[in-house]
Amino acid sequence: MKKRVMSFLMVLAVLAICELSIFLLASTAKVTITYWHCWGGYHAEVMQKAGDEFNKLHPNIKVELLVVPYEQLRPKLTIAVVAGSSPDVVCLWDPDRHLYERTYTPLNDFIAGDPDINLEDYFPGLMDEVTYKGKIYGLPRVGCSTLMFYNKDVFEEVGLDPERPPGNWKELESYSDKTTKKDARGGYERVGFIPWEEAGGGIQLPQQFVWQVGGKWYDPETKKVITTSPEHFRVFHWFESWAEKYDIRKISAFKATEAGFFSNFAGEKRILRVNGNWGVQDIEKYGRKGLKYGVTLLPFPEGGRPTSMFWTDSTAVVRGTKHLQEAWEFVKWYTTDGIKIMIPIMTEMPARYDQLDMEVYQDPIMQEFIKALAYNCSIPDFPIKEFYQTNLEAAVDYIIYGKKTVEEALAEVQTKVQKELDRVLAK
Amino acid sequence: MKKYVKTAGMRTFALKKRSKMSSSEAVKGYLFALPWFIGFFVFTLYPVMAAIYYSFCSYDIVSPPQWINIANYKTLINEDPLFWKSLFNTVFYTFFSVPLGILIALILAVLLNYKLRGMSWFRTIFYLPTIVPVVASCILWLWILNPQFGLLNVFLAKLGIAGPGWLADENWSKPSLILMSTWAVGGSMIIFLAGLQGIPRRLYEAAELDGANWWRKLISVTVPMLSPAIFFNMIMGIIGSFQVFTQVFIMTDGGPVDSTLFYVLYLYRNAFVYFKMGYASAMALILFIIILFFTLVIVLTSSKWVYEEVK
Amino acid sequence: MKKYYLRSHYANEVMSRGLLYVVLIGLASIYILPFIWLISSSLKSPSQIFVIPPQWIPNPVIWQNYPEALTLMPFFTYLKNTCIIAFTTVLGSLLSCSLVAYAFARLRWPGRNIFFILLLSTMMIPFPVTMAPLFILFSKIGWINTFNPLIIPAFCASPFLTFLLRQFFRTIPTELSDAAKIDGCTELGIYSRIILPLAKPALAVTAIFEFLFAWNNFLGPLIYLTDQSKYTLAIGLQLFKGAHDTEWALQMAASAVVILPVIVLFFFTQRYFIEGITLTGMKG
Repeated sequence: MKKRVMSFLMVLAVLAICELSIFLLASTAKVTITYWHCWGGYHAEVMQKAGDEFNKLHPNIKVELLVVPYEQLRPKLTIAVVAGSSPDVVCLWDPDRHLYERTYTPLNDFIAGDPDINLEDYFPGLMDEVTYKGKIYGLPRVGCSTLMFYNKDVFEEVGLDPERPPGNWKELESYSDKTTKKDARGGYERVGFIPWEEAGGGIQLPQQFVWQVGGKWYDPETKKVITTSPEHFRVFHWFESWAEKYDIRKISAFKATEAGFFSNFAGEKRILRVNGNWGVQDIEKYGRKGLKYGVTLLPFPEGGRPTSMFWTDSTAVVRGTKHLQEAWEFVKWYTTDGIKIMIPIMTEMPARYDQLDMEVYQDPIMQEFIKALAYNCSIPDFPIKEFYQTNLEAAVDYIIYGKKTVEEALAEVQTKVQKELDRVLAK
Repeated sequence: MKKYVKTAGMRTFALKKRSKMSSSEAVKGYLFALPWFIGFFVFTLYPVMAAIYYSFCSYDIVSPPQWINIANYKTLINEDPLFWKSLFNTVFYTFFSVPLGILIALILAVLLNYKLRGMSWFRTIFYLPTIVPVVASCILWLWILNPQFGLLNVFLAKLGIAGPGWLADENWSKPSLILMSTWAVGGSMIIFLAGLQGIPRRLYEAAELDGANWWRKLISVTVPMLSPAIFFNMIMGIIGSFQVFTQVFIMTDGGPVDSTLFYVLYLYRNAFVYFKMGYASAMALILFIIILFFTLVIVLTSSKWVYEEVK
Repeated sequence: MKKYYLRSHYANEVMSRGLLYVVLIGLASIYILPFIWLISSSLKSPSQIFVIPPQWIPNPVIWQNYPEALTLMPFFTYLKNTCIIAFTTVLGSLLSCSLVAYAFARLRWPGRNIFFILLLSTMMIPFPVTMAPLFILFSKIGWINTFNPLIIPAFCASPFLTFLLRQFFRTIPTELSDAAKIDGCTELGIYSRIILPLAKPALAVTAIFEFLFAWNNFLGPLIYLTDQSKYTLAIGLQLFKGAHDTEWALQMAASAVVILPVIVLFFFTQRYFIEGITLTGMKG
């Protein structure tokens, strides 16, 4: 009898030990999540470093990073989502907000339940970029603002006060005229300012100028696209006359010398140039030593207001992920603590005010960018941003080449984009 | 009776043998072509059918396709000026770059076929443009075509000609791309080189005996004997030129003022920038029909000018 | 009289040779320009690459660009992957394309011409619209993140190379295969013993084209591979693009290294389609 009881107890004990070890193994079992981002070059190393740090601090989660070239990230992601083989976390840089709910998981519940994530902490406008119809789809990781860089050395050369940048549109034009120089054959050796161009990351100067004088690009209440208001005409006629004065073909010929994005300012071919905070790094890389420059808000006319445009990279959880909790933990850590590892090497700006206490932001130029954050503008709740931007760029092209009148080109954009918007909203 | 059956049997057997031979050749044909059949049915048929289906739908890839009948086609033809513009740009480009490319490849191949010292180095140099990564080529050509400092305009200036704005000028942007295409003829060139090997020496010898000079030999011997290769390069040239994409994607993105908005670039934009995959699929189908038409014209007239040993 | 004729003939030859060299050197200098610019840029510091007017000779010469580029990009991993794909697809292409081209070129079978047009048509559908369905197909059979979508189709006779070989096969006289048939040769025997040896130039061209395609193919590997350790060299070259800026000098250095094997391969295989197999025995 005793023997039977003993053997019975032994079996129980063995079972218990087995169960316990299975339980222990399961809780230390690693969950692997994948993160696709589009930052190559040296940034890829830094992103990986932050990822490795996350893995160290979270023993039961392993994140694997994959770099995908920027232009191919959205096609690759979309195809993967449809086929059911998508990553868990992805870099959210997606202008088609009406497709968000099909591609990414809303994070509202996670944010509400997490005391560390407060919406007010984020720079203005950033959260708007990842929100659609009230649902938040990602956490901003980096943000920025844009200012106008100006070349103090050239200012001195042509007799302008290097400490006094242009303060309004008239001055901007005259400064540009004074600093522009032609070469022996009549082409441009250097150009002051070109008001209609893109400043990178989808930041478009035409948009900024229209905001400055009180114009709007979209009315979320009536769902109407606006490109034909008096403010628009004012700004685009200004572009037209500028293009005429400078001779668009000579400008285009001159612009064709620019292959690297910002290197034209660093190479002193452009004297006044709008760019984000990363422009500082570009000057260090491409410019000559000792190049003196300053930054200032993009000049606005009397009665107007200062503006800045921004761009953001956010981190989102993909729809249909099998590891929702782990993905969220990664997204949260990466955009709050992880960014602190990346910043010193990347000279990006973070996305939150409480992340600004790092040394690199004490620099006076950086302080200007931080001040400019207050003026960030964006188009609220608008789904087909890229369609809008591409058509707007084409319209600018037609206007400055003199192929269409301002009214004609802008009216066309309005009709086209409105039609597409109606089609998308009706779905 | 037995004899009759025997004879009848033999006759049937003789008939069977003949038809068996041609049917056995048919079987062999299918067997040899099996790898392609498998690939076609497994890898090609489904995507093509899907693309055709999508062309009748509104499809943004992430949501299920919605059937909208021929709306995409109607919009393309009646309401989309960019469709017509991109088609015109592409046809213009093809019309010039294909013949030019073939001509230059042919000339180079003939020149490089001589057995002179150092020829292998020359051949490698002429093939280099095809090997160099597209990104590098594009940057380089952006510089060559630079209106102010580019090699081309600097060279023209030495001749006293004021060079145009090339890629920055909407009238010269397509010619710039056509020029660029003549530089990457390495592929066609080595096909011609391989073809030149198959021309029997006796033909040239016979021509020489008749007193033919180099031009005569070229026209009467080389070109006709290369006609299968010319046929190939022409068809592949058309199929390829109609679908040119990477250069414009990297260098001009369609500008200035849509002068280099080529068809597949516009198609790609609709597919992966605007996520209007149904619309893009309709564009694809229309392009397919156009390319097929031109190809059939060449194929059906080929018996008149392509010289082949096999009839 | 004969001597005079020979002498002027000789002089003619020297002149035409000289002319040929002049023309070739002139053209070659245009064609080699991009390559020289590539090498030159690969040895520059970032601030010098876009200097206008461009400098051909870097000053100072930054040799470190090369080791730096090859460590920033996991070069040897990508090289291994690319080699695996390239060698297997060349093998697959030579095998399948020649077999199928033989069917289209030398055999008569019902529907042959229709299927040939069908073969050509598959090249006329632009890639963006087949990308998504093809990916879904491969996903369903579990081939995503493997090399299969990149290798297996090469064993199914790609249209371009099959068409190429078909053209060459059709230039071989039918008398040769007829004679072999009378001698009792099987179809496979004709294919391997008559046709293939005579088509060596075309086969060499096929091998080079397939190799180059596999070596430089960017979009296919990018879409189908989701593991960085499986990436290829072509993808690696694109990854020098950072957030706002591309590491041009490093990208040019990496490009120079990546194209080197292809140049070497081409240089040494040209003899197969240049100094080629002499056909005098058969056709002379």
